[in-house]
Amino acid sequence: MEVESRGDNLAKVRKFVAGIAKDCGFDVQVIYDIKVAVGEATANAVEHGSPRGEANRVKIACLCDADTLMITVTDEGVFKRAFPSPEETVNYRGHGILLMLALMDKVTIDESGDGTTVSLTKNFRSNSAKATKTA
Amino acid sequence: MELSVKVEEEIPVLNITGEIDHFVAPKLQRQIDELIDAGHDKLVFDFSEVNYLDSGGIGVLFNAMQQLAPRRGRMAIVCGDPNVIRILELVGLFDKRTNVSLFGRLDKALKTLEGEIDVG
Repeated sequence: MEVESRGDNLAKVRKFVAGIAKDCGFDVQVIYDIKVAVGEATANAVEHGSPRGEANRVKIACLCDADTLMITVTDEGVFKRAFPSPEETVNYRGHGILLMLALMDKVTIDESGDGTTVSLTKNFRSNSAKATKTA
Repeated sequence: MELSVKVEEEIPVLNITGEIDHFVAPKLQRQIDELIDAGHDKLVFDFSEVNYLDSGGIGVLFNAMQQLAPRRGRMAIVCGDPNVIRILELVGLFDKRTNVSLFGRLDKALKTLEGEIDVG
């Protein structure tokens, strides 16, 4: 899916990936985690990866194979890489990255193209492992 | 996101329904700022009807926490959704050193905050 870089499109993107995650067979908790991780990456794309504001676009792609669901969020800017200042660590930017890393199994940030692509991967294995965990 | 505020025994209860993301978070921030500027240092957030929360909302909560800390303020979050709670716990919102507590029921949150005595 491709959307204009606007905050009111965040909900649309979340709904889209939640549908895909559900089709992949993830349980409710994992679907929520994926929604949040993608929500973070997309918010970052809208807020920091769109030098021309609403004229920019954000692309979401989902790739499902036997082992994983990978969702990529691509914007047309440069990922904010500066080390967070002390006050930033308690604002939304620091938490966004923390959440992506905590909620997904693999996170990569690729700035080699014209924009930035954040790839978020969830393993199916960790989903089923949860079900078989015993005390 | 829908937002309304009711003051119960001098403590504002912010009732929020729906999703709190980066797009709607500023609206919540403005409401909180208004309440803090008006002199309130105890806030209750009723998240019973919140079904989505990410760092947009978390940022607002941490901002509020920081503003209230020098005034020994307190914040209570009422929430029963395990997914939302998981995210709030993940970012350490309810750690010992914060002034934020989680409650399952609004009446318990209000009772606790009302009962707390400010020492100095």
